[in-house]
Amino acid sequence: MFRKLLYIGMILGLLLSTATVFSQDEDDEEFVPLPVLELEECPVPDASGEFEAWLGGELWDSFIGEFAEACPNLDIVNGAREWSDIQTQMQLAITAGEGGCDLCPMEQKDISRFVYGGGLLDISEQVEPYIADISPGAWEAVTGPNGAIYGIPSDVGPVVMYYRRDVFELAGLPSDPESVTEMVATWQDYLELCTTIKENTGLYCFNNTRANNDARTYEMMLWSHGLGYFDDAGNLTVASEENIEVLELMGAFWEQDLVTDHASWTDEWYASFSSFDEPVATLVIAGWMEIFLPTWVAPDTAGLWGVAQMPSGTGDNVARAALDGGSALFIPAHSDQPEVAWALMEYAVLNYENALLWRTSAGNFPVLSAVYDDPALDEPDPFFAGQLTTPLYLDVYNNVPAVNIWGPDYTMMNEVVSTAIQRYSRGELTAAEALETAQTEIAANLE
Amino acid sequence: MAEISHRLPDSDAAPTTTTPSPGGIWHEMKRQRWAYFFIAPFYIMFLIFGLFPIGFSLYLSFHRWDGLGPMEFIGWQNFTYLQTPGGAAFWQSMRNSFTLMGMYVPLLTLIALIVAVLLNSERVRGFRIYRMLIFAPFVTSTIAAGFVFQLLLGGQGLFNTFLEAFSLPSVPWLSTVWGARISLSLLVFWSALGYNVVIMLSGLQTIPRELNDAAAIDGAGPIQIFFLITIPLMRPIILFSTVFSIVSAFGLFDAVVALGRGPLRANVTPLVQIFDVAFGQFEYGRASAQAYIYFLVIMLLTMLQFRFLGRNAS
Repeated sequence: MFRKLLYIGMILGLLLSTATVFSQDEDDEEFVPLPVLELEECPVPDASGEFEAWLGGELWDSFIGEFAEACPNLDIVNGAREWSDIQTQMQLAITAGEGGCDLCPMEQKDISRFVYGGGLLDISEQVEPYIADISPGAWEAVTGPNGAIYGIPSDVGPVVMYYRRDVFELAGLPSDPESVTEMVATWQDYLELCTTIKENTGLYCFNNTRANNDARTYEMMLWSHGLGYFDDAGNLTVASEENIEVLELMGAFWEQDLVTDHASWTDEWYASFSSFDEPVATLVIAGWMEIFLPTWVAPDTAGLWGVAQMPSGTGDNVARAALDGGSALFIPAHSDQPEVAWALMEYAVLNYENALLWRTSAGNFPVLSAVYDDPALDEPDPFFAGQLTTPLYLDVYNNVPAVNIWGPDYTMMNEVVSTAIQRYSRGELTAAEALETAQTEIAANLE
Repeated sequence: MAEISHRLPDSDAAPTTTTPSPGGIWHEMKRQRWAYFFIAPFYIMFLIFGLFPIGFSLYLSFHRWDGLGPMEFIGWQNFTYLQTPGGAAFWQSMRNSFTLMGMYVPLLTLIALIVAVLLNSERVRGFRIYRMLIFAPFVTSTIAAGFVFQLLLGGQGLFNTFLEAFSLPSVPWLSTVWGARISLSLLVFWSALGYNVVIMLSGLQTIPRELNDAAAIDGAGPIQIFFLITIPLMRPIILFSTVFSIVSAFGLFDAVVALGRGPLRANVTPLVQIFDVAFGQFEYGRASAQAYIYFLVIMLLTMLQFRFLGRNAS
């Protein structure tokens, strides 16, 4: 009897997995290209042979579909990869001098290692006409030590402050975006705001875990102070007086019990945004969060959110702006199809109509500043209580200061600083001791 | 059978001693060429994916290489670097492994032995079903299990929901150093128990039942039989199980990746650390040097165990 049940179970399992495979195929067949700019002729007239790209998403599929139609002699192979796989596989390809992709994406925070390490095609001449069209801060990640440019930023993550209007109103505070932007001009103002919210409502201001801190909030704070992990001459500034002050300022939120201990991208983190009983009041994060909040993080809270500028630092090079996330495109120096790769980049990212699609169809933030003034983006967003959000993102994007955080050793630096912050947050070390320990470790790693 | 033997005359003729054949080793290899041909794929794979990386990583450990530019010979620097503050993370991973080892290996070995003795008892009915149920976690993907454990142990996970249902305070399983270590130990314990039970069970089944019966006739109780007969006779098996568990504790990887590296990198084991240095920081030379230190530590630990635990094992 048991054996029969086992066999039946196995057969059912097999049928179920087969059905899943077939249903997936049906989904694939339903792909309808997005209305991308039509190409009348192939941008590279004599293009032929194989061309490999590692670009994911419906919009890229649509661009590549159009490109393939215009260039019939070109055999385009496209398949998305995980970000971490792209790094490893491209490194192997660059070392081998062959293989990999002809047009590759990479997270902006990770591309510096390749920009400094070599193996990418210098496209300074090609991008020259577009330099002024893209915010100076966005070029940082793809600019090499010699000033040459090895890629183009393809989308950016301008940091803003999302907030719950209902919590602000409960705390007796104004909740319209203009007033909130004015009220939270600096991080010190933000601290005061959080104190008021806690006193008046008992609710936490934002999520910032102690034990699992990943230093992303700290890096955004550094960025808005115009600070980084090293200076323009390459000297480490991890434990500079200014950096210590910024960490102490972040520590004040913990000391006054104004933030939760929820780690990012965990269930309790999501619940803190979707909750009606115990929501957090604010979220300082990159603009791409506006895609996630209404779709799967907190869809039931439509109309309760607002967007304001992030707080600014204090000092010489301050701004109410920072970047978090975003990606870039590059062409490996060994690619057999550099002209095609550049033409596809130019068509998909640097062309005005297509750049606009990145915002309207994919929700991403294109790099061409001019796009943000397009009337097509003048649509009030019901999720944000009818707020017109695009001008705010443009304002942030155009004011991102150039800082030295995403350098060639960013992964290691972020890891060491994260541990330092965790030790500080647990009271094991003072801010100065934690950052000095981190700087010593980073310096040893860089030797 | 006779026909098969007839088709394989060489197997009958093959020497059963180590005396070299008159034609020398090449002659012997030529004579046995088909046998070598059929086992060649394994050795070719081993050469490419086993021996070559071992040799190449030794070579790399004396070089600075980030995978992009040319390699630079730097002598022992990748090893002496471990004495600088930069090596702190590696030594921390070693300490983490010793801590984790202390947290779950003794308990795992003991519980596995007890469960195996219970399953080996004649009084237990449905022995095969229990064995299958206990062994099932071992063949379950640790990555998948790790994500399930993350859901169970999260701030609002099932464990805390259960505690709250009884008005008990929730436990920060994954957001404190010790909570994260206990969570990882739980996952590994859950996953490895079945394997250890099966190993112990196979050992128990080699102990003649007459010994237990004789002891029982002489008036020994079940506990005396367990400590005075079962454990001494199981010593080689317990040694194997312990060595395997200790080596596994140092080599924990997928469980750590799935459950998280923990606050203050409390759950980072040497293997995860080496991976992070190699494929996160792209410092292949340093990662290779750390891999060799890791290898030496494991070898030393195993030798110590054989020396102290395995003295009377045979």
